[in-house]
Amino acid sequence: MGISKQSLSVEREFELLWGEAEVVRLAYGEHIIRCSEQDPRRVEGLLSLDGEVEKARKWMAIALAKREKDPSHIQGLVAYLFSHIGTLDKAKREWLIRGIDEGKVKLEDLTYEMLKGTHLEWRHIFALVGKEFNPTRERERIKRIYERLLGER
Amino acid sequence: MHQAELDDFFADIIVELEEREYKEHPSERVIEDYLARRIKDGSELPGRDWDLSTVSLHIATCPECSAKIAKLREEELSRARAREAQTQQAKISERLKRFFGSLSDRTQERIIAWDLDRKSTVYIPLAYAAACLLLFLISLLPGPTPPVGGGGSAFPKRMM
Repeated sequence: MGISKQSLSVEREFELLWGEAEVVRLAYGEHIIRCSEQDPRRVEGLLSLDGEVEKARKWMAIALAKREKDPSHIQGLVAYLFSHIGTLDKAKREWLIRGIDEGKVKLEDLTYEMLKGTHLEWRHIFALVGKEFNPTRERERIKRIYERLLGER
Repeated sequence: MHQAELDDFFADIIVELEEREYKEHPSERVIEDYLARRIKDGSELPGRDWDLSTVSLHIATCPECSAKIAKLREEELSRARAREAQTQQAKISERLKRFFGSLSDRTQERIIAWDLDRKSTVYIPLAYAAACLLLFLISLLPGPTPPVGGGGSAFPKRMM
């Protein structure tokens, strides 16, 4: 895969973040929700800056699952997970759900901050994705890829 | 699938970032644009090398910017709720108008006459009667119980 303009800017953006691996990994999660068609192996080094190779591989497994098939399912799954971070923020939840119901919010607009504390339900995620999918199956798929990555090392 | 089922595999990577102090913050304009989802991946923003992810992760971890955006969200919600209430009211009014319009002229006239009639002959006397009844009930209430003994029990003495 050649170096695209987009992948370069993504790498630069990660470097501009605070140099903390946890922040970089979550920023990568945001990119999985919004875009990032680049090869996850390109950012492996950045994802494991703190030596947390397993965490980096989990994110890589998510990114690879997205590249393999049904990208919108993986985007929706990560958006759901981000929405359940932290305590419930009722106002933000209402703000986001209104946006989803009115069709104003798209997956590619979403960020860690917008989702955090909104505790979305699957129906909201399905509305964002535009169709229903089986989250358990997608989780299992990610897990299989993760185990495959572990086996490769 | 519930959150608990997802946790075992994702728990260590889907984490809440800790708050921290920053010397530099995105401008009001950048925060407003972020809230309005006008900032896209690759958007060029003024000031530092802000980008969608850096703005998002800054706000998520900066108490100052987090409070700012929460206030802006509340304001946006209030405006949306007010718009919704207005639309709802207009819809009800429109439905009533349509219903009234679907009635025959004679029925419409009767309803108008009945409404005027009710106002003068039913509602006003009814309000007057309710006020009188209320005053009568108030007059029936017992007065305050006089204190019994000096600093004794608060309960009244048993009458022999």
